[in-house]
Amino acid sequence: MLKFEKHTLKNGLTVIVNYDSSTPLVAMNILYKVGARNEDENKTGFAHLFEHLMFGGSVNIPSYDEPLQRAGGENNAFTNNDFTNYYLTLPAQNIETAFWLESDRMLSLAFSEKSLDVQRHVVVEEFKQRYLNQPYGDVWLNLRPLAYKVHPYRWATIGKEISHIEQATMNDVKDFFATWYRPDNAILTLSGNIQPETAFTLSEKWFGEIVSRPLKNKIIPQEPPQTEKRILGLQRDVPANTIYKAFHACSRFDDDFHATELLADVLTGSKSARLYYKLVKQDKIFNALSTYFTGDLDKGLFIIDGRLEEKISFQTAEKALDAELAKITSELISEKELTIVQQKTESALVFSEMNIANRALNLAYFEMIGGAELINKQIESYRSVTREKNSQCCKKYFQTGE
Amino acid sequence: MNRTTEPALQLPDKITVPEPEVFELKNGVKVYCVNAGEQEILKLEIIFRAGEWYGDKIALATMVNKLMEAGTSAKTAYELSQAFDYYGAYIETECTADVASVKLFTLTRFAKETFSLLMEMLTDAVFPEEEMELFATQNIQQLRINRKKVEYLARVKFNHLLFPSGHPYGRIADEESYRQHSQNDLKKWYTEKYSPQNCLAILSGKTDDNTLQYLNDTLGEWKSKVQHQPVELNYPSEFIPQKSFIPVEGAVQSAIRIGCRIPNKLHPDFASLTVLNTVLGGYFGSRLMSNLREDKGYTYGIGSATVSMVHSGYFFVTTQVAATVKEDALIQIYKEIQILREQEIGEDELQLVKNYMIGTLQRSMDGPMAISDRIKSTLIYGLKMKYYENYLHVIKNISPEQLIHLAKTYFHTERMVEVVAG
Repeated sequence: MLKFEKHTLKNGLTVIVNYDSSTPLVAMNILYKVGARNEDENKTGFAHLFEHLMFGGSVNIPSYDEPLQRAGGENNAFTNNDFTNYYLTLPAQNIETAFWLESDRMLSLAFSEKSLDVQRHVVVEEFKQRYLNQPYGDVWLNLRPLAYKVHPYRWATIGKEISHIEQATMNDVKDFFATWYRPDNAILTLSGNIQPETAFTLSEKWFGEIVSRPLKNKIIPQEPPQTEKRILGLQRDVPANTIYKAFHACSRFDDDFHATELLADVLTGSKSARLYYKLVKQDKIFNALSTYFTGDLDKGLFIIDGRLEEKISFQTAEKALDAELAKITSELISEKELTIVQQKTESALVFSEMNIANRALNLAYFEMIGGAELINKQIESYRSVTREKNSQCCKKYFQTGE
Repeated sequence: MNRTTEPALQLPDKITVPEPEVFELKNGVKVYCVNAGEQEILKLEIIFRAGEWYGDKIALATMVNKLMEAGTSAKTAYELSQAFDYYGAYIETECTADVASVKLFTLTRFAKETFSLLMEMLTDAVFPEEEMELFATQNIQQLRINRKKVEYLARVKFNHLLFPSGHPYGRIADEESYRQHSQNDLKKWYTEKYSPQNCLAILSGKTDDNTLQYLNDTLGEWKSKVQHQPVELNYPSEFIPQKSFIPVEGAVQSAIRIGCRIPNKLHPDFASLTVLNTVLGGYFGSRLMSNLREDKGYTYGIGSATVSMVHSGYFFVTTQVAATVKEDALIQIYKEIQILREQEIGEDELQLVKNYMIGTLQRSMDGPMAISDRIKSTLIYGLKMKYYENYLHVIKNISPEQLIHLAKTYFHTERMVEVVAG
């Protein structure tokens, strides 16, 4: 049970605090509700490029990192399809430095040309390092546009192509900031050795005067149902053949969400999980095999990702996969299988609560999807998944014809 | 409101370095215990001097460590995995060049059941031929994939040049490495190295009244089958400074690794060298990051580190840069190392680095499981947690004069190993 207090400022900024006196540190997390799904299809990769620019100095503070490091702090950030997240940890007595830094960059950036120029290069190198210069690195760049034809999930967070990053202009940057980096589009959370009252007072002091700009959220086009199987063959110089099978699954807000997460564990969550055991250990069709659910805010994908054994053909491998999926769709999983994945999920949740930075991030995430209090209902949600529910999900996702 | 002045700062004079409670089990195994935290969870790590250092066969130590999970005389790999799963517990095995360990993560309420399962793995593993073959095919495929990565190619070559002539820290596994060991080789290693005389245990998290009793009833009951023979091995302590280039067709980035040997944390200079390294490439605002990323945009990231191992240590710089700029990247890296030898670090920069390092030290001890990692990284050297008090003292008091002296002693740009891949 995670305890927290919540307060909303007049400008719409939500502040949530989890007080823990056992640590000498505080973690601060700021989540902005903007990700790659909010991008223009001709300017993809922008949310992520922007995240880099957030470290290029703000209106009153030339360097973000220097003062934070001087305060004994450390920080980082990430961008995904749905949101952009900034987090930092520092000794509790220096927490005001974090308020000062984060509020100034929410107020306004420095918008330096040098920073834009350098970060364009840095992100291009990141693109190469992660997606081009690695075996299988470009799989997701190809899989996304195959699975999504309409929804912006069809491009990766890094962007559709390098040219979109190279062509970003200062006007684009300013426009993006004005549209999305507003107090009412952000959630500020703290976890660690700070009293809620202190945190609320500091929030008023540093963030209270930031004016909210008018909202101009665009409507995100939703993906229509897929009616035929889509296959893309990619020839690459890689050591082993691989199959990626993606099924359209549910959104974060769907009733099926928790069952879908558990389904991935039932299939390949451990060495005794049924798909792994059957196809890797027993039949030796795959050398490595995993399944996962992207769990995005809008309808995500359920992925099966398998590296084939040397002498196995794609036809044999896919047939073996389909047979197992048909089996789990037509027969209920055992009580024991369900208990195991529920138990493992519960302990993983308890372990993840140890770390203050995790707690701050999770509070912000749950506030975004409907209320921080949902954080304490997770175990119950996973516990209430039934074998029948699992089977219904399989029917929805794996039924052939889709 | 004045937003241009930063709020007043205050850094801790003292960091609480928690001393673990030490218990001795019935059979003499020492257990270091950190009872803390809010969540009802435990981590039990059992550490053996059973890394690659203690033998001359590549990959044998790792195979034994990983394949302990592959079944016992009473349970198949499937049944063993399911048994842990049933309690929501996780097993993690880890084999470094020095030590091999088995970590159990469990809810406190299942300590009794999961400790027993862990003991079954430690005392009764059977290493089935079929599981050995699966391990081999999986590792060979992974090796083939790794060989397509410039970062991997540079890393293993670098280690090999720094630790040559069959040194355990520099051995490179090939496909043959995973198929050359017999079941008997594995069993022999397992019986000799995984014994109560050759281990220590760290228990962290929220224990209850019964936890230690359960540990005594399981780990404490372990009797050795063979007398443990401590092994003393000697390998060359020298390396030959040299440059190596590994061409990779079609690579859009080049991986660079540059470094040299340094003493490990048993030597008083190691802590000071870590401060020097932080200035160079140990944090986001470091000189290498500022120059190659934030000024020139050559790379997504560059860093450097000081590494301590039980029998040696080394320093290295690592990055992946656009293939077109690798020559200038090398020039810039050597230039930054050279500056450490020639110009004193300014007061402001040094103070910033000190503050950052104090914060990092504090973060590295936040929570029982983080503390258990710190305990491990002193215990295997025979050091106590007091090491960190000294480390803090070094960070706080080291002067620019001392740092320039260190750079002149240890960082010779013409005496480095340099590897470029791609």
